Amino acid sequence: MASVVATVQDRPGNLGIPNAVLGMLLFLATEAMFFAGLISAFLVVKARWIGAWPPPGQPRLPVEVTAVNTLVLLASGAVLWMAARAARAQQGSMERVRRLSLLAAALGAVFVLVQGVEWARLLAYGLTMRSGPYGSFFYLIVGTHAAHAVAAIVALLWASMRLDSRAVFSGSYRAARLFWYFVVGVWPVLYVLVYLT
Amino acid sequence: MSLRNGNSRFSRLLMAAALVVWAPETAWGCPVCFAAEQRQLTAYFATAVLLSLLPFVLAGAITWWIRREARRSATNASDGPALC
Repeated sequence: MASVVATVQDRPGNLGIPNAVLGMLLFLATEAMFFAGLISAFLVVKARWIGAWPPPGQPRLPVEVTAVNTLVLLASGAVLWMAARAARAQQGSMERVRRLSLLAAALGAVFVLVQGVEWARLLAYGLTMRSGPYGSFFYLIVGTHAAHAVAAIVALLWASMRLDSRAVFSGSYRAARLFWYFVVGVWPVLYVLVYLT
Repeated sequence: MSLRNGNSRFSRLLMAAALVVWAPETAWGCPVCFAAEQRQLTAYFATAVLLSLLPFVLAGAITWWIRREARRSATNASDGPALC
């Protein structure tokens, strides 16, 4: 493993940053701008809305269940951070790193599953994409985040399954971790804006 | 260029300057910023600040991170092979 790292670092002009990580950083920067655009549109439409927000007659969002779900998502980020720490410090075997990474992915899957159940209930209560700006923005913003969560879970599972003593330091695993941190980090902002304000 | 053309161009420039000086309210670029309620103005201002500053914050954060990784990589290379 050490020889692999040394080989990468010995290349002249190499910064020691894998291409996958750099590519993921740039991708996440564009994603941050994308979410900022959605948030901006939501804030402007909400400010221009005449009358109460949420509009009367629309179902209320499941604030409490989603708060617990937010804790589950944050816990998954913490577990992944522990996996990264274990990998960095070389504590235990790669098996521990893999187990923690899979646990983080499983917690992420629980988050998406609970979100799905709540959306099904909201749809049954009549909150749809076409029921007005409230429903449109809810499904657009939260749905976009959910799509990112699913993609990040798949990436994390794929990278975790490929873990071995060398791959733990590879770009793909670090890139998948970054992706998941982004998904975890952006959610509290969306939760406060969409559910609480 | 004839004198007549020069005069015409000068008078057009003079008219444009006079418009800028004496009729600035017609030159405002934002069609909604001055006819909205306070909460709408706040929303426009907040989102304008967010969308204007975020690219700089992102570019700065990525540059800072790359520099930090490069320094760490250089330190590790001088100390021996790094683990991460």
